Amino acid sequence: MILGQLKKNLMGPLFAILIAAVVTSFILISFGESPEILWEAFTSTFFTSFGMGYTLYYTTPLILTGLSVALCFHAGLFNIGAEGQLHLGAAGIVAASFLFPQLPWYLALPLGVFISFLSGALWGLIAGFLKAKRGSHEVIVTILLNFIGITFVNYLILYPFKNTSVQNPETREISTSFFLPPLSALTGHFGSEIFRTTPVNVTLFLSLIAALSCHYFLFYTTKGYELRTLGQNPKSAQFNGIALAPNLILVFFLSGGLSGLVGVNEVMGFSHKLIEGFSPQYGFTGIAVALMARNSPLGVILAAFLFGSIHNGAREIEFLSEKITKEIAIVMEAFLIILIAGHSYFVNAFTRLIKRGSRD
Amino acid sequence: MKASQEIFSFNQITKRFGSVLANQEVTFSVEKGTIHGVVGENGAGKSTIMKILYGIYSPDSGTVYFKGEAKKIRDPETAISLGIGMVHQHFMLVPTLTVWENIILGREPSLWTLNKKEILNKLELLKSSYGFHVDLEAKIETLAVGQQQQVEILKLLYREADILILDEPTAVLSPQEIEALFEKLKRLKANHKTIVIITHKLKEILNLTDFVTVMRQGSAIETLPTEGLNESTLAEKIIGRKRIPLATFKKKSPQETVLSVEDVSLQNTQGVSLNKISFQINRGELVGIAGIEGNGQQELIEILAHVRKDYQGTVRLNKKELNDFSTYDLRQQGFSLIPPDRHQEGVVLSFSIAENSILGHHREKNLKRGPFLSENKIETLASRLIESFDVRPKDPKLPLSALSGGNQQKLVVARETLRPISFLLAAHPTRGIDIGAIDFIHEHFLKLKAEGAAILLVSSELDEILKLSDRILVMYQGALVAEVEKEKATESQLGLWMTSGVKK
Repeated sequence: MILGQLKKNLMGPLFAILIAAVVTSFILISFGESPEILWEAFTSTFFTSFGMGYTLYYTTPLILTGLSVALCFHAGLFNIGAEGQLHLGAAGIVAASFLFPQLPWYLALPLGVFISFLSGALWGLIAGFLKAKRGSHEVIVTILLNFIGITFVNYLILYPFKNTSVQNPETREISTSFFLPPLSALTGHFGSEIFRTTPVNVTLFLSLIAALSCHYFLFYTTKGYELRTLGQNPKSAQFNGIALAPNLILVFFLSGGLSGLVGVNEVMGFSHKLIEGFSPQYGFTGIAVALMARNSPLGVILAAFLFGSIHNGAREIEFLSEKITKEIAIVMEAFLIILIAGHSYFVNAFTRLIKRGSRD
Repeated sequence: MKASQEIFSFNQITKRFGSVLANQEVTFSVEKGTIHGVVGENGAGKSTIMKILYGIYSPDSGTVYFKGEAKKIRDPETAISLGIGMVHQHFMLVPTLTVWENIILGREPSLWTLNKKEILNKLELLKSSYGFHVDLEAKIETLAVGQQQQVEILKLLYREADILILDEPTAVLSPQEIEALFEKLKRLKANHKTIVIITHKLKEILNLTDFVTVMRQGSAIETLPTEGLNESTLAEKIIGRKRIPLATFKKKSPQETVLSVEDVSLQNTQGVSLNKISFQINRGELVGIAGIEGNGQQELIEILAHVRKDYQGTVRLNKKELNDFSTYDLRQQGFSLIPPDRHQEGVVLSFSIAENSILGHHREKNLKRGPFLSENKIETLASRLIESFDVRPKDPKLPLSALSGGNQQKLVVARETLRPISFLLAAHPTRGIDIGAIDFIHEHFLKLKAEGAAILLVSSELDEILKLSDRILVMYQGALVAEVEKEKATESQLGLWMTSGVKK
């Protein structure tokens, strides 16, 4: 029963991945590259510790933004603002570290996580508040908040937090008590070489915990039940005592917070500073992740891993090829999205074809 | 009477959905130029057999004969080309398009040119010959339900349909609209059109049809001329047993006001405004509000359910003001609600039966294990509701959308009444459900009343109001225009109040 269900839910995506891979190979060939590059990128992504380390490093923020979008979806809301929210989250950590550089690590680490959540959440809250109180459409508001949020964070990077000793647009380093250990530190502790020199860090566990929490929150708590009711049938919700405004605000708060946590992976986990343009559009890819996972918080983990591996694969392709850049990932992702979004259409057309064949 | 001529017939049609047998060897025929009724309880297979004729479903076995020939109707396209048209229970119109645009949709004369004048001329001709009154240039979203239905019928006539299938056409109409519809149907019949009407309402069958096919549990039990039938014999045929009169319960409760509404007014820019509405309901009393839909009932219900808060005046439940409660807390005060529009206001279709059975009471402690909702406890509750109201199928894990409308309604009634309640607001509680279940729900209301609950019944079915109420209020254009004890109420007097608001 469960296996059948799983098979049904996984067949579509697997099929989509296969088609996307074939199309990408054709693109490579048309540029005069050997499709072997794709195979090399594939093996290195999945079968080397280095490739896997990077893949998981990319997966982490995608889990968080995927959850952020999925959570809003469940309440019937479209959060396009993950990109802005994660910028605010990252900037929050840097600010906290500059304010309290002397904190011991056992206070600094929770503070960093808390601040990144809170900064993202407050940025998300604006959209929720405007929707609840003024009826402003959340899609427009979150898109605009992205511009404001990203520009504001870039201002912080270039002016108050700027590291004046380098040419690059980046902030000064945060104090070491805010550093999160990379996974290689853990594996190294057991004498393993796995994930050495890769940026994947303990934020991965944080994102997995977040996914589990979202699952339990949505499906096993009263509040989650209320949010889902609101998303599926707002009028029924209202008639049954579920108020619209406070729940809208709450869900955007939580959603923004999840995106904000991306800052933990980036700032506390890896670069220890904030670099202009640090996010390769994690926030927008999060929409695709949620779509692919059909908003299931646990499905988000798998979908994020898939998009993470495409990210890494594209990085490898760029390294291996002279002509192809890592933007090939965007092409492949686009194909995946089209195939997944049109999933039911393709499946229906396919089954109808089979039915017609068997009937005549 | 002229010689009868069969236009289509079903021969041994069987259709399964998974393990459910929707139609079992259904055999009956329909004569040209007649109005043919199809009756039966929820899930008796009425809609399924008609959807087979219209090509939405294909039968597993059996044959459809059309004008004497065996025909395979693969899809609605084929059906339309044969002159078969169907008006579904939920209209298939594009709200933002105009009437004539909706009518030609799917039948545009050609891809590039659109001779509007010609189309309008043809439509005007149809309108005048069958007595339709609808503005062809109006947008669908601005039309009342009855008019939208006219558009659906016009659409079929424009496509030159000879057979019109109407699935529960009167479920959403006011008595006047029903009358107007029947007038048109009779005119269509006079023009040699064949009409098949699926309905629950026995009165309509008796008033309108020439023949009636009774269906029970997927089979067509018998087809017979309507003449000579009466309501009780027809009802017995439908439920397959004698109808038992409702049990009577002894009143035991003292006079004690449960709900009091004082001078409630509402200035409404979009819908109906309410004008100084005052009434009281006592313990153990059932008060009916009669009125044609759209005379302020929806607004009053929203105020009583505490969904709408922009009114003047006071509403008290058990001597406490409504404004002291949140919408949810009201439920904990013994307030129960069967909302007027089940799909929009009562349930979440995509949720499971179990999830739906806690809606409105979902914060209760006894549904939880620790901080989390307990699936077990919720399913136990759902099973109890399912058992006591005979909701089918009996699996709490199924999505609610897998249930027929009547069974969904039974679940809502079960959820709202199988708990300690002091006040029940029941709006159209039996809309769209079959006679057996109606009797069951009515009896349940009488029992609740005997146990001391106060019930406010809002219904557009006068029969229901007259049968159950101790006292009847009539609502007209946002005001209560009359109040009458059950003993003194007559249908004609009520009808007059409902349509004109004045006593004669």
